[in-house]
Amino acid sequence: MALAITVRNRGIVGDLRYVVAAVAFDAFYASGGEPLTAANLGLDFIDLLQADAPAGYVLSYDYTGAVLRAYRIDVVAGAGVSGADNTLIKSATSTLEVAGTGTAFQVALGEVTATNDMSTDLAAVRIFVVGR
Amino acid sequence: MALTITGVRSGIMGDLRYRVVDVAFDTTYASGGEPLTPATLSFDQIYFLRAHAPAGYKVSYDYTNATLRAYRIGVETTAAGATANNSLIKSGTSTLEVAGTGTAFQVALSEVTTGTDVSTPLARVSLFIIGI
Repeated sequence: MALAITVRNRGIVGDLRYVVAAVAFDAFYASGGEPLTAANLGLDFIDLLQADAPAGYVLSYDYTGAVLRAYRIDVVAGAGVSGADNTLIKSATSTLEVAGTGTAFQVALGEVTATNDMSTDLAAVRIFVVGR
Repeated sequence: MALTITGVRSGIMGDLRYRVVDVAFDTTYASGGEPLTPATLSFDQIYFLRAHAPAGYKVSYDYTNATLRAYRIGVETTAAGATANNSLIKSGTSTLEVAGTGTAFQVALSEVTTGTDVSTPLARVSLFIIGI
C-alpha cells in the first residue's frame, strides 16, 4: 500500500529542482497505483517523472492522481469458448496470430491487479524527477 | 556480446553530469543483458539511465549488474496440451482472454533469449544518463 522511497541525490538545474530516488513497491499493489506525491520527494510540484522499471514491467506516472502505475501483459477471464477462428497460435513466422478467419487485434498492457505482491519484481525502481 | 556506443552529447546538469548516447545491440544477445558499466560511459556512478527502445521493445538498465536488458513478449514452449480452459482467445471485445473456466492472469514482458540476434530491431537505442 506504500512505496519505500530512498532519495539518492537532489539538486538544482536552472530554475528547476531534481531528485534521483529508488522506490520499492510492497506486497500489496494499491488499486489505481501507488501514491507518490511531490511532497514525498521534497518538492512542491512535479513537472516530469521518469521511472526505469526492471523485470519486464512498464511504469508510468499519473500526474493527475499522483500515483505510480505498473503495467504488464493482461489476460482476462471469460466464458469464451476456444474455436477455429478466435484461438491464438504461433504463426509460421513466429508471431502471435489469431487462427482461421479471426481478425487481427491489438491490446494495451494492463495495470497490475490490486493487492498483487510486487515486492520482488519491483523492489528497486529508479526514478528521476524534475520539479519545483 | 557487446554494445556499440555512439556519443551524442554530454554536459553538466547542476552538480551532476549527463550524457545522451546511442547504443547498438549486436547479433548475439548476452545472458542477463549487455554489459554497460559506468566507466564505459565515462562515469564514476550512474544515478539514472533511461533507455528509449524502438520497435516495440522495452530496454531497462540493471543497476546492480551494470547491464542493459531488453524485453519483449515471451511465449514459452511446454509439453502441455491445449484444452477448453487454458487456450488463449480473442474475446468478443478484442481483449486477450483465457477460454472457458480458465482464470485471469498477468505476466511481465520476458527478457530476450540469450543468443538472439537483436542487431536490427535494436540498432539504435537512445540513452539518457545522469551520474557523477
